Amino acid sequence: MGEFELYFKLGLEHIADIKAYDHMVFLLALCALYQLKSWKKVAVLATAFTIGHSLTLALTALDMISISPDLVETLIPITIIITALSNIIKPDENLQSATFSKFMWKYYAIAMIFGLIHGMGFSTYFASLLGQEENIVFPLFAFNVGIEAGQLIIVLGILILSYVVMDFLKMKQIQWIHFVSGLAAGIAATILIG
Amino acid sequence: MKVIIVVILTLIAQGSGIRDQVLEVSGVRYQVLEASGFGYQVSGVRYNVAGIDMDQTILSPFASGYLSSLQPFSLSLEPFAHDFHLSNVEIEYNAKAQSLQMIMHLFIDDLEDGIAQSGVDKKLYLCTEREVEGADQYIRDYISSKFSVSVDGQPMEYVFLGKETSEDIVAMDCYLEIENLNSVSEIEISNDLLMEVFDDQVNIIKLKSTLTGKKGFMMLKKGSHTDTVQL
Repeated sequence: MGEFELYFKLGLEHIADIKAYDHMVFLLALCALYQLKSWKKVAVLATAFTIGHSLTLALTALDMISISPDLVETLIPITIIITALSNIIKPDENLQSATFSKFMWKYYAIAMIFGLIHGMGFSTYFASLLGQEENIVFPLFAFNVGIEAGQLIIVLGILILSYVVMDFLKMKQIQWIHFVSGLAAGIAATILIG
Repeated sequence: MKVIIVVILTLIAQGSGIRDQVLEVSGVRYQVLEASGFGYQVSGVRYNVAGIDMDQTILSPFASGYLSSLQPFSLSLEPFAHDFHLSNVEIEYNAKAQSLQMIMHLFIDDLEDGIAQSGVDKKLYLCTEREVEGADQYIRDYISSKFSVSVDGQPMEYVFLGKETSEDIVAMDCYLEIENLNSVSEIEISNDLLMEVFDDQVNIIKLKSTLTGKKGFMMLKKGSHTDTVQL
């Protein structure tokens, strides 16, 4: 096994690990507004999230910033709750943004900013992978590519589920958005309360 | 898992109005007793989870989603924990010293669980002031029962040089060495450390040789805890 493959797999398995479900729940809240046909936007959104968390993961791994894990564990569910609530506030505006690209930059920016917080959540795990490794740039790159790949798989799954629910179970889009947002908010609240 | 089941059941219940859906997963019974109102305004789902009736009169899908997430959690899911089970061994063939130098990075609490499960029924307090005498021997015995190295087809004995606690006191580094190696070309590692304790244990191995400059990597898991590299 090569070095890239090792860190790629570790990143992929970490994001897809059911025990690290806070990131999955965030993606669920983030994707709630979109339908399968706008998968390209969701891919960009997930990538913006990756750019955010890659940045803080790199800074933490290089010891340039250090934030208490407890604070991060608190902030992560807050990002989920904010995303979930913003989905159901002004639903018309949200849907419009999901339809028309010119409003999208705001959503990309938020995904990236929240990514900064989630990146710090990956750092404990990443640090234990590294051990005494000195050259961290390549492992970091491969690990992030793995996380991004895992995220794309998760968001694709969410979009397919939303397609099934809306097209076969005939749930209205607004209902789907509300249900999923409520679900995400509930899980985040449970994490927050502990 | 449970949350997923309840979500699916809720969706089914809301989408089709099917009642008395019963699903049994790992000993927990999920039953949708009543589901009403597909409309956006009012919907209600009543569950019987693990023998307990739960009533929901839900005003919106948001609340429905919110409650679906809370119920299984409050009943049976572990509170949130960012748990992962990982160890890391860095192995270097140092041609000048003619030795294979290994640093094994382990989480202290995991290792204590492993040693306890191997039949040592006293608390070791590893890497603390209260660490029991002879703790290193327990660590050595446990590691040597789980971690083995073969060089060019030949099983090797390694020396346990000592341990060192990491800065954050959650992990330790164990130093191991195989001496008097004139050359190394193929290394086989078997490492099922802690896999009997945690099903999701992943043991990473990173190897390099100062002689050839080659590197090798392994990701060992339950069921595939042996691998070979050429250095």
